[in-house]
Order: sequence, then structure tokens, then C-alpha cells
Amino acid sequence: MNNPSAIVFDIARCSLHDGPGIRTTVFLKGCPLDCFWCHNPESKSYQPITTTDPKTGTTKLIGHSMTVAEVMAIVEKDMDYYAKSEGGLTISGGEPMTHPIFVKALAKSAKEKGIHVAIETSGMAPWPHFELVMPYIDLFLYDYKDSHGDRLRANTKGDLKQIEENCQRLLDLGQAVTRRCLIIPGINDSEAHLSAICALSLKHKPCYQAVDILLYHNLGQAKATNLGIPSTINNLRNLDNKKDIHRITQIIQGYPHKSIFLKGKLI
Amino acid sequence: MHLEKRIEIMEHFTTTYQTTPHLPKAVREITCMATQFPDVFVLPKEKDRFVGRFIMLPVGHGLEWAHLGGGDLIEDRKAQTTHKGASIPEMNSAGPSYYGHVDQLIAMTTTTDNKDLLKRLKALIDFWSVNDTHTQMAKQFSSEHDPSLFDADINNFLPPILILTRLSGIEMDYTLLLEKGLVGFKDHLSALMADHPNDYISAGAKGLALVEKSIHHYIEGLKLKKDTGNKPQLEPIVTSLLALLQGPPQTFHDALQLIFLYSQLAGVVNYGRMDDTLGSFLEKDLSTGLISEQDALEDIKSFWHLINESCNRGNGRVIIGGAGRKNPQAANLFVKLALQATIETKIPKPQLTLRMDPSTPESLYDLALDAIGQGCTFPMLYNDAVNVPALAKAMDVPLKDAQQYVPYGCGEYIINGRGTGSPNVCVNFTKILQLALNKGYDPFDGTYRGGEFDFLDPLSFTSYSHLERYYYSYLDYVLSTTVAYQHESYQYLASKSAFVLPGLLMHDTLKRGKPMLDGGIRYYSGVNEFYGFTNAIDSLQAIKEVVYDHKQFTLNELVQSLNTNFDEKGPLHPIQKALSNAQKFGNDLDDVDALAIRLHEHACEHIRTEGKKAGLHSFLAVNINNNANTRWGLKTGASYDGRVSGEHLAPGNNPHSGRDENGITAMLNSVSKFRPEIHAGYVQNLKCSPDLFNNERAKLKMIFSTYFDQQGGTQLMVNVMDQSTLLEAKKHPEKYPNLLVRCGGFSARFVELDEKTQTEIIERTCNA
Repeated sequence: MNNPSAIVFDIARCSLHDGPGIRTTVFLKGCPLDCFWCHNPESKSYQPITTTDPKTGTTKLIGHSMTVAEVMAIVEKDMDYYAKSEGGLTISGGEPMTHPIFVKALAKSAKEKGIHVAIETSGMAPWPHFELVMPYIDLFLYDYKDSHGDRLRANTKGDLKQIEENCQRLLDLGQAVTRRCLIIPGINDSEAHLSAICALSLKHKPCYQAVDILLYHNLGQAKATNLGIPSTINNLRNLDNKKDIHRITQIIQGYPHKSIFLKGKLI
Repeated sequence: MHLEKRIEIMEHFTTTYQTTPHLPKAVREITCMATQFPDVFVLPKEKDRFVGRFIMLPVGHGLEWAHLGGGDLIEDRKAQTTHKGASIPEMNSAGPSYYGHVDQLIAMTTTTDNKDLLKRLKALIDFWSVNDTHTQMAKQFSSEHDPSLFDADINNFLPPILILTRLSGIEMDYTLLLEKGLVGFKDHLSALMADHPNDYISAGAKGLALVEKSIHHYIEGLKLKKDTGNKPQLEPIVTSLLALLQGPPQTFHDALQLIFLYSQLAGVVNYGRMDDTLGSFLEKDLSTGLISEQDALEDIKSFWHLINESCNRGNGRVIIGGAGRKNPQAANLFVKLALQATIETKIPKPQLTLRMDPSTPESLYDLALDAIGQGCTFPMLYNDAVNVPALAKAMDVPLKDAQQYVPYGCGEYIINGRGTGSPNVCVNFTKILQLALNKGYDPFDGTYRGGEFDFLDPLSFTSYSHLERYYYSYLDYVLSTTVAYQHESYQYLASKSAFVLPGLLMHDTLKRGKPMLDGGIRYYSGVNEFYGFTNAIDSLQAIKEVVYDHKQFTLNELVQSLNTNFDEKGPLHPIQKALSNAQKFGNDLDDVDALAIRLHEHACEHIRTEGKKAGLHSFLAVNINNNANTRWGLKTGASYDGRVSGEHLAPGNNPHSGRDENGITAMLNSVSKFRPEIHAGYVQNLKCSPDLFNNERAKLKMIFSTYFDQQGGTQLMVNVMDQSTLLEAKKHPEKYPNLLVRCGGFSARFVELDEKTQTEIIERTCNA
């Protein structure tokens, strides 16, 4: 297929937090995981969905099929900003690694235009998918959701073993990887998980870039409510506050670690 | 000053005006002014470091328009009694020409029971309600043009055109005044007259004598004040005033004092390139150790307060940075202190404006971003690399003069000390579309406001391009009326006034021996304020998609539905929904942006060409907006972009609030698509959360530099504020007395804005 398509549920231009510089983030629909805290609950299913705002009754179709060329037409609009800021394209989801053919074609097309390509992944995809896209990806933004396999499976349906094996293979093959660790209150904000993150930061080499600690923000719940999607989030509190930041920083500083960032600052 | 004294001065002015029609107009003007000045000058307030405050009486002579200045929605009458808004006594934005602000006089009658005073006020009201220059001009114009199209009452936002007789935005070149001093300047005028006797120049000498008289007045007043109590800060003022009677200003303080005092008498409320004007004085005083940086900073802060308290909110520009400065190194000393003064004072004026070019170092740009990040709303950022060459073409001036461009007021460009560029007309593009599709009847209230035009039946359009051509033809008709007003109002002003004092510092009045509007000014230009421009773009695009591309509804169905405001009640009307779903300007979308570029080119070229024909050096579009977008929106019916009747129109050149959904880069790409070579100032607002602006500063800087360097962005004004803070401030104004916001063409304390303007600002897209 020369111009494959995928179900895209959003394209966020001028995205400042999905990799280096100023970027355009393309969100592909569908994810094999089922994290109950998901901040994009509308992205889980692989098909377009129609949502109804419970307040106004307004309906909205989320997700539509787009070809690589159509996506690139939008991505290319901010070329000047990428060039100035060393930014580029980030492919996100859902889980983009479950759309390997589309991702490969999109990433290849971007690389041909000289655009830096990053991909946001949970790592929950068969290894051959990674092999397929790898030549066209400059940076993997690779989740580290939990250090505890059973808990990960219970909360997300994810397979820690597969995820970590994929990651290690990427690193072994010299792929640039930044680990992204979302800290969720009551789930993985424990000393045990934070210390595991520290250990991970020392283990990864040689192309490991950094660990970004991301703090849970209660965005998904409000989003689910507005879209009329049943929410699985049970009133988790936001972690983006001085007290929790201080606590998390303190724990991390108690263990040997390397290149761990929290809110853009090196811990 | 008590009421009787005020009335006495106004009566003296009025009788002088009545008895001097035989005098040459320049001489008559100074003679009339001398009945008020220097008596209306008041002594400095406690912390003032300069003199020049004066009481602006409702009757007098001036340049500007006292009612405007981003006027509040608060009723004018109320504004008189509460002293809110632009009509505050002691505010010097007076004019135009010989004015008698009847509403203010009426307000005065509510402050006394004294029958004699009331009778005297009534006599003033009777005279000025007929003889006020703007009133007379509007009357004359109405007799020659269809009056259904415009209104002389600028608070009546019903017709598609607003007319304002004024000579707004003059920014003087103070060089001659500072180099020669008052004494030398008078000698210079005498020498000119020796060769060619000339009423205008002779009046100029009288005007300078009035400045000197004002200085004497202050010296006497300050001496008396000193006698009644020891006020040490008066000493430097007296020293400067005495020096100014002897010769040219020697110090930074002398120069600033002369500039402020002269500007008050001249009626000028925008100060131009102060860094260029004052840089060498500052550099000299700092290098000789006469003053410290802290002393200079305190002087500038005092100057800032005086500007803030002496002119209405749509004025008070001070320009720093940029190409074409005589001594950039010295000027940059002023730039740094000006930015610091803005950070430390946090007041709505001056409207500090940073022109960016290679002679303005990165460190000053960073300091500017710090000021913005702290919620100052200033400085506004202007891109010389684009603006200078563009303005050379737009205004048809040499590059050297284009380098002297300055934005004034709400963002109109003018050539500092070399050109006029008053916006004497405003047009509402959205309303013009509604009139075009309703055969001249305004769907807002059913009144005919179409002028003399052969309207077509909307049913007759066979294609979108047919409709667009029709809209353009009606637009041309309306815009041609604005060209006529611009020119005729200048001519009318010229028949009444010479504008002597401001004119002396404008090229080439002395060389030509003529007042500004009689052929003296180098560039006899004007501008037209566009409103509802974005809504017209979105409206045309929505009609194109809904009626012609997708055939969801007929044009007739749209017109009917809009005329009943989408039936108002109930859930979103299907027509409104269809219109809302169409492409919107501000998202970097090719179709709607192409339409926007077409409309921009058409309208700008039309007035530019017609303006030239009318004899103006240039007549250009500005898309600046104070809060007239909100005020005009209140009187504009539902529009074809899905906007409901009474909702604000989009501010400046921005997307309509909340409709830019593709992020900052897309918005900036859209707004920078308009060709800058055919307009004289389009302004862009960008609202950012403090979190974004301050924590992602490096990335934002890259966005800004891409916008300026690669996209050809001309201008940016950044509002850094929390959405939650705005909502809180609306609920609990008492807790946020100093929260500054950028409305569009002016900044203001949020809590002092009317509710509708507050809502418009809250609804703007906030990038977080």
C-alpha cells in the first residue's frame, strides 16, 4: 500500500511536551491496554466512536480515517517551527505500535522531508512491529508504567515482560529511548516503584536518553464526563502539587540514579 | 479648580473664539489657547518629578477625541459622574480642533444648584452644541452623503460606518526642540520669518511664548508651594524649568520635563521614540555621574505615571528599540530602564512598544519577555525586518522614513514626526455583509442603513463567487464613503485649525511654511479601522460551505434564520450548527485562509487606490481594535459564522474567540498570511497561561522567532494570565485591583472593564 491510512482521533500542533522542541503530535486510535486512568479514554477502541455531551446533547464523531499524505499535509505546515526548535513529529495514540504499516509509512515520509520523528509507546506490541518502524524513528518515548508485573497486568492488561524485552532490544540495537513514567496516586507512587525507576535509569545503556517522571493529572475523568464515556477513574487526586513533587523528589534523591527529570528539571 | 473658575475660563475661550474669526487661523488658535493656558495647569502631585498636569475642560482646542480611548460600555453620562473612562477631567485627550463636549457640560450642571452658574453653563451648551467642530463636520458630511450609512455619535454602534473628526496619533520629532531649546527655537522661527513673513510661523513663535509663559507659571507656583512646606523633590523641577528658560535642555531631567510640558500644550498623547530622543541625554548624565541609573529609573517611573494619568487608555505609546535610531547604544540604555520601569510600575500606560531589530540586543528582548511574563502586558513586540520594508511600500515612503515608523494608539502605524495617520473612520465588515444580504436593512433592528446602492436579491446568486463579488461591490461602495470622510474631515479641520504647536515638530511644516493639513506635513495620510473582519471571513466561508459546497441549506434559509437570531431558544439550531462547523480563520486551513487573504487584498487595495485619488498620500487599513469589537458586536445581529446577535466581534486580527483550535503555531501562521505591504497595522493577541509562558520560555521564544523570522509576523501582544484568575477576578474584583489585561489596542485593569469586555477576554483561547 503506497498511501496507507489509519483512524486518527486528533492532531495536536504546537505540542511542547511530547519530545524535543516544537512538535506536531498525531494520535492514532486504538490501544491493546486498558489503563483505568487513561487520559485519552476516547482513544481506546480501534474504530471511530460517536459521543454525546450529557449536558448539551451535542454529538461528536471521534476518529476518522486519514491517509499518510493527508496527515503529512498538516505536519508539514509547521516545518519552520521544527527547524528552529529541533522539534518534529510525534506519533502517539492509542498505541501507535499496533499500527506498524501506517506508522512506518508516516515516519518514512517525515524522514524524507527531514523531520525528526518520535513515537510514544507503551511497548505493548509484537517485536516485529518495532523492527518494521525502527529505521524511521529518531526517538522512542517509551512508557514505564509499573515495575510490578502482576499489578501492571491487573491495572492495564499489560505484559511487563514483553514490554521490557522490547525496550531492551531497542536499546541493544542502538535506538534512542526516553523512558516515561507516569506516577499515579495510590498505584505506583510508592517508594518501591520510584526506587525501581532509579535502578532502571542506571541499567539502560548505551542509547538511553533520560527518564521523564510525569505526574498524574485528573484530565481523563473530566474528558470522559464531557464526552459521555463511562469513566473508570475513581476520583484520583492530582499529583502535580508542591507537596507530592517534593515527596517524589525526596524519594528519588535517596537512591542512586541518572538523568531523571521531573517537570523538565533534572533531579 | 472650582466650578465657577472652570466656567469662567470656558467663557473666556468661547468669547475669544467668537470674536476672532478675522484673525489668521494659526494666530486665532494660539490666542484662544492662551485663554486657558497656563491657568489650567495644576501643581505636581506628591511623587511627581515633572510638571505638566492640567485640567482638561469640556471646551477647548485640541487634536484628539476625548470620548474615545477604548471607551467603556458604561454609559457616557455615568462616566461623567463617576469619572470613569476617557472623559476624566484632567485628562488631556481633547479635541478635535475647537470642541465643546456637550455631554460633559451637561454633567457639570448636575454638580451645582447655583442658578447663575447653571445659566452660564446653559449658554455654553447652547453655543457648543452647534459650533463644536465634529458636530459641524458631521452635519456638512450628512448633507452630501447618505446619512443612513454612518453616525457621528461614536457611541451609537448601529450603522456600518462610524465617523470621527480628529487628528489622532500625532507623534512628534522632538529633535529641534531639544537641540535649540525654547529660546533658540524662537530665534529660529524669527530667522525664518525674516526671509518670508508668515502667519503660521508667527503663530508658532506665539505658541512657544505660551510654553515659556507656562514655565514661568510653574516656577511661581512651585515657589509658593515651597514656601508653604518643604518639598525637596520640587527643587530639581524648578532647576530644570529655570534652565529651560535660558537655553536648550542640558540634562536628562531637563529634556524629559520639556518633552512632557510641550506635549501637553500640543495636545499630543503618544510620545514616539523616547529611547532615541532621550538616549544621548541619559548616556551623558550617567557617564558624568550627574545621576545614577536608579535616579533615571525613578524619573522614568514618574513619567510613566504622568502618562498613565494624563491620557486615555487608547493612547500613551512609548516606542523603544528598532532600526533608524541615531545612537542605538545610548538609546538602549533607555530601553533597559524603560522595561524596568514598566515591570516596577505595572500600570496600564504607557503602552510600551518594543521594535525588534539587530541593534536591540537579545538581553533586552529577554528583559522584555520577563516583563510580559510578569503580567505587564508590555512591551508589545514589533518586527522591524518585516515592518520597515512593508511600510515603505504601503505608505509609499523612502526606506529611511519607513525606519521611523511608530505604532500609536491601538496600533496604527505612522511615520514619527513626518506623517499624519488619523483613523477618522471605522467600518464593520460583518454588518456590511448583513446589509448586503438584506437589501440594506439591518437585521439587528430592521432599520434601513444601506445608503444609496442597487441591492440584489440574494436568491439571484448562482454560485459562491457570484455572492462574493456582490459583497465586494457593496463593500467598495461603503469603503468609498469612508475615503470621502477621511479626506473631507481633514479638509474641514484644516479650514478651522493650524494645529500650531504639534505642527512645529513635524516635518516639513517649517520648511514649507504651512500647517500640517495645508500641505505642511510630509505625509498627509490616514487610516481606516476595520472591525468584524474575521467574522466576515468566517461568515463568507460558512456560506460557501453550507449553501454552495454541501448544499445543506439555501441562502434564503440562512438569511431568514439569522434574522430571527437562529430562533434564539432551544438547542443549537441546525443552521447555526452547520455554520459553526465550517472552517474558521486562525487554524492554518488553506480554504478559509485563502478567502481571508482575498478579502484583505480587496479591501486594502480599494481604499489605498481611492485614497490616492482623493489626494491622500496614503489611506490604509488598520485592524487594531480597542474594545469596539465588543461594543459594535452588541449592536450587530447574528452573523453567518454562527455568532449570535449581540455577541462580541473578533478582536483585532485574531480568530474569533475559541475558534482557533489548532494551537499557537497554526494561529500565528494564519494571521501572518496577510500581506503587510498594503496595511498600516494589524494586531495579534496571544493569551498564555503563566505556566506555559514562564516554564516553557525557551520553546515559546522559538515559536516567536519562527513567527517573526520565517512566517513574516509583524506584531504580537502577549497576555500572560491564568484563566482561573480572570474568572476569580470577575467574581471578586476587590481581590484583583491590579490585574492587567491587554484588550487589543489598549491595556487596562481587568476589574475596571465593563462586563461584556471582561467576558470577551475570558473567552479568548488561552494557550496552557
